Parts: sequence; C-alpha cells; structure tokens
Amino acid sequence: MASINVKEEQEALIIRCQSGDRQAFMELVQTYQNMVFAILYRMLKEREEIEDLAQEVWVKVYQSIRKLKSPAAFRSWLHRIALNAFRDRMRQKGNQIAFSLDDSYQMDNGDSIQVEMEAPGLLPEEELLQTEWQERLEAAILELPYSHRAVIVMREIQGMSYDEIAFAMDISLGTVKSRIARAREKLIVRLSEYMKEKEGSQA
Amino acid sequence: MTDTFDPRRNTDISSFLDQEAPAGENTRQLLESSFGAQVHYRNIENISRACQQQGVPVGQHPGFLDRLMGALDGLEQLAETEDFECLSAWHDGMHPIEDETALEQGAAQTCLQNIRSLAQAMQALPQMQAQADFADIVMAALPQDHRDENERRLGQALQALPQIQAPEGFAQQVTQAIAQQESLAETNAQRLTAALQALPQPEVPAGFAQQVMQRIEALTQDTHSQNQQRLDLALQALPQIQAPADFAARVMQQIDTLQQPISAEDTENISACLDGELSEHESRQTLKALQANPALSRQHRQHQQLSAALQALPRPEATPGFVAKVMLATEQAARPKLFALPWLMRSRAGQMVAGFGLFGLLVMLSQTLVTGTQGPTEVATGPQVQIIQVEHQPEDLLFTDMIDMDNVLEHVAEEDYNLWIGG
Repeated sequence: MASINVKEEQEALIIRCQSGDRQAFMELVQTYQNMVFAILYRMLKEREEIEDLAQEVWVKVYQSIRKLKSPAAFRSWLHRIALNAFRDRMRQKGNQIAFSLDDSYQMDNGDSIQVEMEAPGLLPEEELLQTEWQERLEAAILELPYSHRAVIVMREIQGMSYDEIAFAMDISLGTVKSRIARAREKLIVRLSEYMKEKEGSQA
Repeated sequence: MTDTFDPRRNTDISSFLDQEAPAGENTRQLLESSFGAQVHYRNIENISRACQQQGVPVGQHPGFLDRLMGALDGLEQLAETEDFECLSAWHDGMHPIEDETALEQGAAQTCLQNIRSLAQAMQALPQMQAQADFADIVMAALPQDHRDENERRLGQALQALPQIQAPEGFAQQVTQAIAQQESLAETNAQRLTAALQALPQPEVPAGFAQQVMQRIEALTQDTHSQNQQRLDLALQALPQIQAPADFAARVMQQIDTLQQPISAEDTENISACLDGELSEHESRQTLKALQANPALSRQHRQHQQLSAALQALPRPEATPGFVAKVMLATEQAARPKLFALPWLMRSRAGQMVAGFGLFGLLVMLSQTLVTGTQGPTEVATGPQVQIIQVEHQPEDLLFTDMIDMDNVLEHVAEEDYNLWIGG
C-alpha cells in the first residue's frame, strides 16, 4: 500500500512539473538525481564529466517533461533521456570515447569507431579487497558494448524491469532479455578467473 | 714226545689270557712243554689283538673267544678227517649220506660235533659287519708257521658258516612282490593320470582360439599394428593406478557437461529467471533444465554471483548543490539566445532577414524615443517576431516567472524549439 502511495505521489509530482511548477521540478531533481548519477557513472568512463552531463540531462527533462504522456513511465523516460545524452556526448567526443575490444560504435554517418583497450589484467593475489573487486567489476562494465552496458546497468544497478528497459532503449522485450543475458555472459567471461579466485577464497 | 695238549678240553689258557683267573701250575707247565698249548696261546692272543684292533667288543660277549678258539682248535683237529667236506655238506643238507649210522662213530662223530659246535658258535657270534679285510687281518695276526694252514681252515670255516636260508617260496614271493609293485606302479600311474585329468580345467571363453588367431593375424599385418598391439600390452602390464573413489562420477559429470551444450536460449532464460522476468510456466521449464544440465546450473550460479556483485556496487550520489545548479541551468536554457541562433545565420536569406529584423528594431527604438513608451509592434511574421517580443519583456519578469517564459515559447514552432535546446 505504501509503495502505491509513493507511486501516486511521484506521478502527482510529475504532473505538477508538467504544469510548470518549478518547486515540483526541484523536488523531482532531488528525488531522481542519484539515479541519473548512477546510470551515467556506469556508462561514462570520464567521471569528471558526470555532473556536467547529469545537469544537461535535467535541463532536457525540464524542457521536455510536458511531452511525457504517461507519468508512470517517468523512470524509463528519464533513463532514455540520460542514455541519449550519453550518446550525444559520445558523438561529440568521437573516437575519444572508449569502447570494448569486440564492439564498435556505429556513428550516424555510418562510420564505426573501434578503439583498442587493454584487457583487464588479473590480480594474482588471493586476498583482494572488496574495493579492488568492485573496481575490476566496474572496469569490466565500462568495457561492455554500449547496448549491453546500458541494459545491465539499468537492470542490476537501477533495478529496472525489462519493460522499463525496453521503453528506455526503445527496443523489444526479447532484445532486452537477450542483451542482458549476453551482457552477463561477457562480464562472467571477463571476470571468470577472478570469480574463480573469489569463489575459492570464500570456500 | 707226543704233545697231548687238547685245546678243546682246556679253558685255562683262555682264562689266563683274559686275566680272569690266575694261571695255575698246570697251565704254566703246559705252556712250557706243549707246542700246541703255545700255538693255542698265541692264537688266542693274536685273535684277541685283532679283535681289539677291529673294535670288536669281545669283552661284552663272555665266552666268545673261547668258542671261537674252540672252533678253530676243532678245525685243526678235524683237518685230518678226509670226510670233513662230506660231513660239512651233509650238515648243510647238501650232500646225502647213505649210511648215517657211521656218523655216530669215531672221527666222523667228532667232526660232526665240531661242525655243529662251530655252527652254534658262529650263530652265537654277535652279528656285526666286519670290514672287508677282516679275514686278512685275522690271518695276519696268526703265527706265520700255520698261516697257510689256518687260512685254508678259516676259508673252510667261513664256507661252513650257516648260509642264510631263504624261506621256501621266497623267490616266488619276491617275484610276486616285484610284479605287484610293477602292477601298483602301473596302477598308480593310471591313477595319477586320472587325477591330473580330473583337475579343474581353466575355462576358455568361446571363440578364444579364433580371437587369438585374429590377434596374431592382426599383429602380422603391419609394423604399426604390431607396435600398437605391443604398446597396448605394455600399457596393460603397467601397474594400474588406483583412481580416486569419485573419479568415475567426476568423469561422467564432465561428459554430461560436454553432452549438454548450453544454448543461447538457455542462457537468456536463466538470466531472465534470475530477474523474475519469466512466466510461471517458463520458470518451471528453466528450473527443470537447470536440474538436468550441470553446466547450465553452474552458469546460473555465476549469474547469481555476478548479479549480487553488481547490486553491491557503490551507488554514486549527486554532488552537493547539484539541484541548485540544475535549476539555474534550466533557467538559462529557457532564455532564448538570439545571437546564438545558428539557423538565422546559416543562409544568405537568413542573414538578410536578420538584417531587416535588426533594422526594424532600430526603427522601433527610434519611434519609442520619439513617441514615448508603447507596446511592441509586430513588424514581421515568424518566430523571430516572437523573440523580439520576448527580448522586450522586463528582465525581472523573464527570470522570476518561468511559466510566462514557457507560455511565450509555446508559440514557437516545435522544430525551432528543438533547435534551440539542441535536442
């Protein structure tokens, strides 16, 4: 019941924003600012640009929120704007944006960017700190192709459903399902040796 | 002078020699006067010595020497008997005598007694195995004067010794025994053969010979085959390594893993199942697949581990004052940027329109200065006119009430709006 109330409150907040209530918009930013930071944090390798990009996202939200037909889909819509902002930033940066070894980013003009990156080295020590494991995991996420990175972050980090992800990325449910599975497989492959060590040390 | 010494009737010399009795006057006189007594004395002495040399325990058999010497002395006396051999042969049952009454008379009687006595004496001898040269030693011990005679007599005496008489039918029994032994040997051989044949024979599998022949043929096919066979045999002969108890199970698990490849659909289903995005039916099917496929189950565990790790990642938070920055940015973004409108300056026509617009603005300002304050006048149609109107709104109004700004912007064409906001 509480969650329903919260949901209704959120929808009411969005409706107020759509009517031009700046106070409501401020509350909206306060509510969802960390979510935008989280998605951008996992998508963007250049961490110093996150705040700038997040600000850009919210400006676009402010400018476009009236176009949102279903306030209930705000979260997905917010992620769509964030991902579009990220993609626009990648377009602007061109080949400065890092992609995975086995992925290429298709530019609008048809060119593909292939950027080489170092494969993650395995740490030989048996006892790795949790932070080291997280750093390795975050590095592996950033090395995923954009399409896989986006879905796995939205699913695992943001806790979004497949429907929400499908809406956010404007893709089918089947594609979401497939991409999430493939993203997980790629992460497991890249972290396999470390996961074995971690599993062994826990056993 | 006739020597009347009769050794058969005198035992004093023997007792004297054996030191069992003191020599009497008669014995001394006899030994001094009688040559026969002296010979007898020497014979006893020599034979005693010979017996001692041979280790014959004469002393343990009282009267032995007496009987022996008596026998020898008797032989000496009987040496003159012509029919001695006949009597000896008769005694042994080898020579029949027609008139046996003669044996009870004269010298024949004495000779026969001597033979019997000798036989008894010899039978009474301790049965010992004498050395092969015992007779020679005895004879050598005798006085040389009577050696030849004594040797002859001893030979006769030895011949006269009782021959072992085999019982009647002994030879037949022996023959039968031998025959029986031969028969038994044959029987035993037969039994042995039968026993050997009755031993449990090793089971030879059916077709064993054929297999052997095939292997032999295979071995002779070519060198490679031979080497392979030899290698197999050598490997089989190697000490067998004891595998761990669960080795077979682990191998089978590996095989199961190999035999059950994971399809992309399986992977997608376990991933979606983990996210709770499958229907009830799909979830049941996926759980069944997990139970049946160890590799899929392992992959599922990896997904779980990865998911837990991803969800445990630290969540970045917005920087302090971020909301204020956003609000300011939205205000700034909402302000139209006249001189930044790129569409206006892109084409020559646009530049001309902008020029006219600027000219109109200057005219308007001059009129305002001449006629006083009045509302803005539309000098042209299109979005730029709207912008001009906005630019003439009081500044405080523009930045204090964004709703008014938005109302103004609502009149702007959507495509131009998108161009402004860069979307």
